[in-house]
Amino acid sequence: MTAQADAVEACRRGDEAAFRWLFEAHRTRVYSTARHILGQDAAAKDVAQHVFVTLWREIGRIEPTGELSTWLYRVTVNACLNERRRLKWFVSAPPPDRESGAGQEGAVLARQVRDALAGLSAKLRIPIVLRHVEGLSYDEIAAVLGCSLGTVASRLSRGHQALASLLREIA
Amino acid sequence: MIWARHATADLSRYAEGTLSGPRAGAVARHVLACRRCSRQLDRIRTGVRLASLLRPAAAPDVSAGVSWAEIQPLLRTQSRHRATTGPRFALAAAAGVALAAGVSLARSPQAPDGVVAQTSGAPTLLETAAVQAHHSRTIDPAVRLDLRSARATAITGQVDNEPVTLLVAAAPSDDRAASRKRPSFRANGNLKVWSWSRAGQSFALVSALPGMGQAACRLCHTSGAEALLGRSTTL
Repeated sequence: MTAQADAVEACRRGDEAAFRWLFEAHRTRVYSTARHILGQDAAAKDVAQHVFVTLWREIGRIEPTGELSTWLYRVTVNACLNERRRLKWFVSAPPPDRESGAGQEGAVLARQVRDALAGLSAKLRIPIVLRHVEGLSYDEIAAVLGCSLGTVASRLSRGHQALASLLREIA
Repeated sequence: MIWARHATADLSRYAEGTLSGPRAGAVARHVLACRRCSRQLDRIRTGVRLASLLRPAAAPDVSAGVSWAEIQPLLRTQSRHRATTGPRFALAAAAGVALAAGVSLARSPQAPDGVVAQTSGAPTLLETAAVQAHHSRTIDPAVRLDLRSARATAITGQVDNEPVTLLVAAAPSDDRAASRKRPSFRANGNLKVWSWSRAGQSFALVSALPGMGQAACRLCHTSGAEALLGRSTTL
């Protein structure tokens, strides 16, 4: 058994310390995915909170030796889609601008790419986040999204082209 | 033409170098022969290069990500839910009904126990602070913006021995939500905002029920939201 499998097994018995270990191991990944999909810090925090509370509640249904990260990504993506639907009802506060004033060209470029990413539909954006931010393989993305490898490949092809079109002037 | 159909679906994998074997060779040959796919491949390569600039968002501390201190209290509530879901929800629902009853009784000078404060007029910092006091994080600026120009009633009490604050706000008619016909619901951690419009005016109901998650929403829906609404409009 791996350390993660041991932790899942302990969590199933209600061990909070083990759950904290899982939380610390995955929290940055969950938050980062949500942050890139939603583009908002507060909403990403909400999603991350929801994901870990769901994990604690559903831990009894998760196989200790199963692929926990795939499960987490799936719950995160679904929570983000729900959150996006709710966010449509409210005026978004502009995100804090941490990098544009710093004069760091690379950081400014990365910010432009993130802004362009926000302009893509969720269908194209989510595979790009999972591929380029989280480094998942095409097969892993298909498992997270519950679709075929061909669908993932097709969405990534369209997403990459859309990103290039949106950033034509700096590409 | 190598293939009758274009190679769009495979171009990303080809551009990233993750397509191997005979399929990669077939795509290479197709791209040489097909101007459309060749142009698409150029754009995809550009997109891949740009996307590679994305990197994980940092969450080094409490201010830039969810912290254990925020999660831990929720776990304990979830555990109690698992152990005694039925009785607890029944108790919460009963308390919610009692709270709604308390709201209508609060119109009389003798407010019952459980309704400890009621204020009217535009929401002030004090009122948003009252909500915030039961919430471990700051209120989303978008929500605060929504409430700032609204008339509101803040009601605090106890549900299941936990502090509860309901803030009912009647938003101005030019509010974005006024144009919406269906009620909407926004979750922000434990802070719930539910907005809807009726008779041309829009309303928002904000509740902070610590650790009760979706049960808070059900309470709002089942404990006389319309009664709360009626109360807020009489102010």
